[in-house]
Amino acid sequence: MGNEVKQSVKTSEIMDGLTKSLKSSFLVEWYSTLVGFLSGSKSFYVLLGIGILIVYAGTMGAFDAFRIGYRHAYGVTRDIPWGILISTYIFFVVTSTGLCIVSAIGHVFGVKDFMPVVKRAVFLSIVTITAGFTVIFFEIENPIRMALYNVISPGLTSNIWWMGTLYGIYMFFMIVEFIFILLDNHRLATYFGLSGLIAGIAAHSNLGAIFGMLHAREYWYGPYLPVYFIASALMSGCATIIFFTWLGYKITNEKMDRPMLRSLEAVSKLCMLMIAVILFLTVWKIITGLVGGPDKIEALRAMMTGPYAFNFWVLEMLIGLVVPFIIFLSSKGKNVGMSFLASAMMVFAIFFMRYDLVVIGQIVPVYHELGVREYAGLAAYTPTFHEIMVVVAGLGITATTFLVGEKVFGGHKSEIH
Amino acid sequence: MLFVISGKRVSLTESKSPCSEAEEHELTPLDYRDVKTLEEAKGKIWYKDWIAGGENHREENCMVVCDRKAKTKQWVIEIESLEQLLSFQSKYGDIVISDSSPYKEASKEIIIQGKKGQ
Repeated sequence: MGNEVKQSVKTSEIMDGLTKSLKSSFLVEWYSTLVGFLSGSKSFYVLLGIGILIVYAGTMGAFDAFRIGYRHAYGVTRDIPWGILISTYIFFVVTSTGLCIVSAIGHVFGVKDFMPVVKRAVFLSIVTITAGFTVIFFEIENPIRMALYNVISPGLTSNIWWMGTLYGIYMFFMIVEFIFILLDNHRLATYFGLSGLIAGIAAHSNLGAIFGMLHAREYWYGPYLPVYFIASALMSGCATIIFFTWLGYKITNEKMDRPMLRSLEAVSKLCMLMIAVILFLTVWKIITGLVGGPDKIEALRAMMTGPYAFNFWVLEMLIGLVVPFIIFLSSKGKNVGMSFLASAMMVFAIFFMRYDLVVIGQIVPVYHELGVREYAGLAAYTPTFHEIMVVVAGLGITATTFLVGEKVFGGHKSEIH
Repeated sequence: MLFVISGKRVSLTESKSPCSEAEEHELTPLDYRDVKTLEEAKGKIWYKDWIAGGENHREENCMVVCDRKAKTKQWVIEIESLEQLLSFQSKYGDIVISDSSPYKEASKEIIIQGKKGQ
C-alpha cells in the first residue's frame, strides 16, 4: 500500500516534471531556434532558400492545375464557385490596403508617430498586392484575356471590372510612391501616397461591394461589407506591420530606437481600436442576421454552431480578436514582444476570417429557400491540393520578398522621423 | 545640451522649423546592432554594409555601434539650463522630452505638443 502511494506520487511527479520540461523546453527551444534563424546570421540564406523553394513548389502546383484544367484541379463547384483562392486573394489585398492606410497616416497626413513604419509599410503593401494578384492569376481561367478585355471592352457597371482597374491603379501609385521614398523625394512621394490611398480605399470598398451587391446571397447582401472591409483592412494593416517590423529588427539585429518603439505603440493602440470596431460590427452582423431571411439564418447557424463553428469561435474570435485585444490591452502596446505575439495570432487568424467570409456566404444553396429537395442541405467545399499549392505560392512570395527587402533596403530605415 | 526638436506632425513637402529658436543641423546617426562583440558581428549578413556605411565601429553597452557616414538633417535647439527649458515651455505650451533616434551629437528630443493656448 505504502509502496503504491509512493509509486503513484512518484509517477505524478514524473509526469508533472515531464510536462513542465516538455512545455518549457519545447517553447524555449522553438523560440530560440526562431530567433536564432532570424538573428542576421548566415541562416538567413537558408530561410531565403526555403522561401524560394516554397514559391517554386507552389508555382509548379499552380501550373499543373493550369495544365490539367481548373475544373479538375480545384474544389470549387457550381454551388460554391468562389473558394480558397478568392479568400486568399482577399486576404492579401485587404492586408495591402491596410498597410497603405497605416503608411498614409504617417506619410500623407504627417502624424509623426507613424513615420518610422512608413517605408516598410509601403514596401509590404506592394508585396502583398503582388501576392494577391498572383493568386487570382491562377484562379481566373484565362487571365491574359481578362487583362486584354479589361482595357478594350471595359464593363463600367461591373464591380469586378472596377476592382481590377482600381487595384491596378493603386498598385502603380504605391510602386511610384516607394520609388520616390527611396529617392528621398518626399514631396512627390506624399502626392503619390495620397493618390494610392484614394485608389486603395475606392478599390477596397468596391471589393466589399462585389459581395454586398449580390442579392442572391443574403449572407453578404447589404451596405455592411464595404464598411467592414475598410475597417478590417486597417486592423490587418496594423497587425501586419507590427509582425513584420519585429521580424525585420531580428534579422538586422538593430536596436529599436525610441521613435520606433513609440510608433509600434501607436500602431498597437490603433490595432486595438480596430479590433474593437470589428468585434462591434461582427456582433451586430449576427444580431441583425438572426432576424433576417431564412438563408441568412441558415448561414449564421453554420457559422456559429455548424461546420464552421470552430473556425468562427476559436480561430476568428478567440485567436484573431479576443486574445490579441487582451494582450494589447494588458501591455498597453508598450511591450513589443507581446505586440508581436498578438499580431502573429491575428495574421494567422485573419486568413481564416477571409475564408469563412467567402465560403459561408455560398454554402446555403440559392434554391434552399424554395424548398427544392436536392438543395435541402448545405453545400460543401474542401480546398484541393492544387488550390493549397497556389495559396502556398502566395504566402511564399510574401515571405521571400520580405526577406529580400530587409537585405536590399537595409531594414527600411527612414530618416523622415 | 543639444536637443532634437519636433512637433506632433511633420511636413513632408518642406522642411519646416518647429519653433523660431530651432536651427537645422547635420547630425551623425548612430547605428546600434544587438550583438555583444565586433567578432560576433562578423558572422552577420548585415556586417559588410554596416562596416561600409559607418566609421568608428566599437562595442558599447553590450552592443556594437558605429557612426553612420551619411549625415541626416534635423531641427535642433541648444538648451543650457533648466530656466531656459522652462521659459521654452512657457512660450510653446506642453512639451515632451523623450529619447530621440540616437545621434552622436544629441540623444534627447523635445516634442512640442501644440501651440500654447490651443
